[in-house]
Amino acid sequence: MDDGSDLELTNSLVPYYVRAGGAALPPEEEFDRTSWVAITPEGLHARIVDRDAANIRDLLGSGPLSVHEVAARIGVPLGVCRVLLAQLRDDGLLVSRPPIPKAEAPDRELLDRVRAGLIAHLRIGA
Amino acid sequence: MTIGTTEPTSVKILVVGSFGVGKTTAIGGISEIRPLTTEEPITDLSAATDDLSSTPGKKTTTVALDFGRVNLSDDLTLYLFGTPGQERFKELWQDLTRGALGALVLVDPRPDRLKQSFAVLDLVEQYQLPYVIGVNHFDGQRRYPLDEVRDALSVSPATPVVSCDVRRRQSTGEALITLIDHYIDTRL
Repeated sequence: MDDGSDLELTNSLVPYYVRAGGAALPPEEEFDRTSWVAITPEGLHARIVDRDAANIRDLLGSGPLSVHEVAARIGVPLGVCRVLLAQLRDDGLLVSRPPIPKAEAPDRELLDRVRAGLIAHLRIGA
Repeated sequence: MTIGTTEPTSVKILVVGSFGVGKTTAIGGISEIRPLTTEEPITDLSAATDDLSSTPGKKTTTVALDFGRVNLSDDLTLYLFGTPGQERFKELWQDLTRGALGALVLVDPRPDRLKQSFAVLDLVEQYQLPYVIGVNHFDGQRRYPLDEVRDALSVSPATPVVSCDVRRRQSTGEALITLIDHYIDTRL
């Protein structure tokens, strides 16, 4: 935004709001930059009116991509892309998979062993 | 040496903190191997980044990494990695944090030194590592109440802040156990 004035129809944010269909952003943990999205079999053949959403469908026709890449390839800001993806998902036309965790999380048993091992190693009271 | 029946496992914990806060000492204290450090003499070139005003006796600095190992049982090994929080080591952090159980963040509570911990805290937050704050009390200095240190660092109330004398291995070990407990409480 260039200044603190009210949102007017000429404001640069308005077109994006319209392109996102006026919908709100999905929760932060959904459609993270590195989440994978793929089109469902229904999505491949559905009639999609919205131009950007149709572009997403066409783009994903050749295979799943990360959210970040989808936004870049169809040329919309990440936020707009996330809104569109959430709508496609809600219509059953798209599935997403959260990012692969950095590493396998340790389980309780392992942590207990580390704890016990440290106590034994250092001969300290728990 | 016998080979255990189960698959050997290793866990990784980071020991992080600003320059001169005692990371090398902490890792050296509990490691079974002589810590692999890459200490280098402090030169005029590092004067811009490494503030020596409160550690005047310090003649060497860890270039990038300390490494220590503790065999916790036949098939379980703990690796400790110590690294500074300087901006120039950010790339290293990416690798080190992968799969790490968490971090012990050592801080020097003296008012003029405390602010140097902010960069490190930013990094652990950014990488979403579970962490505990270990307040290292140095020789002949007044002891700062842990609550005051917590306030000054503005860490969340859920983050444990413990006293940690890195010259005593038990003290470092207790801080690591606090980290394990914190992990169990918050991530499981």
